Amino acid sequence: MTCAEFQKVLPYIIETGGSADQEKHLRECHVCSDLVQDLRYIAEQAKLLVPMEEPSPQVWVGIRASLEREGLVQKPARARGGLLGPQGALLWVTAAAAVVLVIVGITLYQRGPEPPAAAQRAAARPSDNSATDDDPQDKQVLTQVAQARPEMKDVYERNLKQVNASIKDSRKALASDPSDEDARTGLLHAYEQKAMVYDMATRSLR
Amino acid sequence: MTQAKKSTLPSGITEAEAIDRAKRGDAGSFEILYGLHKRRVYSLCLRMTGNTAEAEDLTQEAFLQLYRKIATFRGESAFSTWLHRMAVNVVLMRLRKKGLPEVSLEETLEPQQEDGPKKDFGAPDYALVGSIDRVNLGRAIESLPPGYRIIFVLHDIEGYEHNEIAEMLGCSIGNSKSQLHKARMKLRDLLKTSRAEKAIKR
Amino acid sequence: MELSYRHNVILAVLLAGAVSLAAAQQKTDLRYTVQPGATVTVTNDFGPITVRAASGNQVIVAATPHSAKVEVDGHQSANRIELRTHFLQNASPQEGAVDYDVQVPANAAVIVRTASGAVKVQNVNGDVTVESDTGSVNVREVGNAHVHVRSMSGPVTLTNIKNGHVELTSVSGDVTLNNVSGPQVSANTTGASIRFSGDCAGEGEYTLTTHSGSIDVTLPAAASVEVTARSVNGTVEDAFQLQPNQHPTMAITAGKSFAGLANSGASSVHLRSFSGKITVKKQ
Repeated sequence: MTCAEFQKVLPYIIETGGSADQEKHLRECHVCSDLVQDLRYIAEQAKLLVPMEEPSPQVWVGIRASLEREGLVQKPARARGGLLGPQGALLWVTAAAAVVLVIVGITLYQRGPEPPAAAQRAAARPSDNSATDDDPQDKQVLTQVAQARPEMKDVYERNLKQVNASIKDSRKALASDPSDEDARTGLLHAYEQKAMVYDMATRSLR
Repeated sequence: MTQAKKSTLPSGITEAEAIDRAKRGDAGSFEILYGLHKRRVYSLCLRMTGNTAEAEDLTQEAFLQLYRKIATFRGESAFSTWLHRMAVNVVLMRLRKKGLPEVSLEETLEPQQEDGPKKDFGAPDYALVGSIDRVNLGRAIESLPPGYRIIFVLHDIEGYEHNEIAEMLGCSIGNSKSQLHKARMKLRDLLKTSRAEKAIKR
Repeated sequence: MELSYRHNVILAVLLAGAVSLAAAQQKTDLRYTVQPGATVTVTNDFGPITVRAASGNQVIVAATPHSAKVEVDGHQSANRIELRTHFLQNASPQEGAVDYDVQVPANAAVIVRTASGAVKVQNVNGDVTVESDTGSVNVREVGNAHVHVRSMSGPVTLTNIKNGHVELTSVSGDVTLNNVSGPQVSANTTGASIRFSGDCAGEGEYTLTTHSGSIDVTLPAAASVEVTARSVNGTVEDAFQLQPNQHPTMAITAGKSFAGLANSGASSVHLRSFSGKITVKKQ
C-alpha cells in the first residue's frame, strides 16, 4: 500500500480503524503515522476548548425586550402599575372594555323607550367617554399599537375616529327619539365595531 | 425524568426549578437559564460564524427560540443538550438563508497536495503533539474556510457524530468525514506554519 | 472574520462531495395528512395568503419568506393545522412578508388572520373565517358554509357564496357581494360602502347596514324579495320600482325610507344607513 492510497481512505478510517493492510502501512510508514498522530491530537485538543467568550450585555437586553413584547414573561408585581402596564394588563383591560362596550350597546338595544329627559341625560353622560377623542382606553390601545406595530398606528387611529363618530351620531339620534329601533340597532353595531377594533388591536399584541 | 442540574445555583434554586418557573413565564428564571448557558451558546455561534455581531444576533435568537419552546421541554434529554441542538439549528438556518459558506479556490486547485503524501518543506518535520496551545488552535480555527470550520466545530468541538452532522447539513456521512479531514489537514498546516514562524523569530 | 458566500452550483462544480447549503429565502414546503373536516389556520401579518381547495386529504403548503428575518412555523395537532409566520428578529413589513399558497381538502374549515396581506380563499365547502387589518379579502366559490369576515380597512369581496351563512363586519373597507345568497347574509360597515349584486335566493334574511357609507343593491327582475330601506340623514332611491308594501312595519318618508315587494317576497332585505345613500336597482 502506498502513502497516496492510505491517505485517500484516511478520512473514513481515522476514527474507526482500517483493514489489516491499512493498519500495517500505518505501523510501517512514519510519514502517515505522524500525520495520523497530528490529526488525532488536533481533534483531542479541540475537545478541550472551553467556551471562553461571553456575549455583550446588550444580548440579554435584546432578549428581555423581545420576551416582553411577545408576552412570554411577566414582570414582578411591584413593577406593574398604571394604565400603561405590561401586556397582560392591557389585554385584560381592552378585553374588558370590549365586553363593556358590547354590553352597553346590548343594554341600550334591549331597553324600551325612555322618557326623553332621561334618555338625553344618558346620551350626554360624561362618564361614558367611549365616543370621544379623549377616551383614555383608545389612547392606551393606540399607544400599545404604536409600540408593537408602528406601521399600523395611523390605520387604527383613523378607524377608531370613524367608529367614535358613529357612536356619537347614533347616541344623538337615539336621544332625540328613544323609540327609534334603527337608531338603537345602529348604536349597537357601532359599539360592536369598536369592540372589534379593540380586539384586533390586542390580537396584534399577543 | 428531568436531567437538568440538581445543584443549587447562587440564586438559591436548581436549574430544574428555574426551568419549571421559566415555563410559567417567570422573567428571573429566564435570566438564570441565560446566565448558565450563554457562554456555550455564544461560543458555538462565534466559532461557526467567525463574526461577533452575527454571533450575538444568533445567540439572541437561539435563546428566544428556547423560551418560546420551553413549555415543550419534557426532560427526555439534558436541558443543555436540547438548548445546544436548538442553537446549532438556528445557526445553520441562518447560514442556509444567507447562502453557501465559501471555500477558497486555493483549496480546490491543489489536487496534488490533497492527494499526495504529505511532506513538510522548509521546516523541521516535528509532530504537533504537545506543541499546540489552545490560543493558537482557536486562532487557527477562526481562519479556517467557513465550510471546513462548520464541520470541525460540530464534530471535534461540539461532539456531534457524522450521522448527526449529515442530517443537519443535508449531506452524506462520507461528505462529513471528508470535510472534517480536510479541516483537520488545514489546521495542521496552519499550526505548523505558525510554529515555524515563531521559531524563525527567535 | 467576515464571511463571504458562494452559490451552490459553483461549489458543486469546484468541490466534489462538498457540503452544500441551500440558497437564501428558501421556500418552505409542508404537507399534512388530515381527516375530513380539518381546520387550517394561517396567521401571516404581511404577504399574500391564498387558500384553495384541492383533491385528496392533504394540506399542502408552499410558503416563501421575503427575507431571512422571518420563517414559517407549521404545526399539526390531530385534525388542526396551524401555520404561522414567525419573526426571527425585528423586521419591516417588507422584510417580514411571507407568500403563502395553501391547498386544503374542500371540506376543510379555513381561518386566516393577517394585518396587510391580501387574502384569497376559494372553492371550499368548510367554514371560512378571515380577519384583516388593511389587507384585501377575496372569498369566492364557497358553498353550504359559514363565512365570517372582520376587516378594519381592507376591501372585502365575496363572490358566488351559495347557501351561506355570511357575517361581515368592516369599519372602512368597502364591501362587494356578488351572487351571495343563503339563509342569513349580513354586512355591517361604519364608513365603507356596500355593493350587492345577486338574486337574494334561499328565502333568507339579508341585512346590509352602514353608518356613513352608501349601499347599492342590484337585483335581477326575477328576484323574490321584500325590501325595507331607510337612511336617517341620507337619501334612499328605489330604481327597481318595487311594489309598495301595503302594510309596512316602519314609517315611510319619501326620500328617507321605502318598503316594497318584488315577486313573492320570499327573502327579506333590510338596508339601513345613518347618513349614506341607499339605492336599489334592476340588473
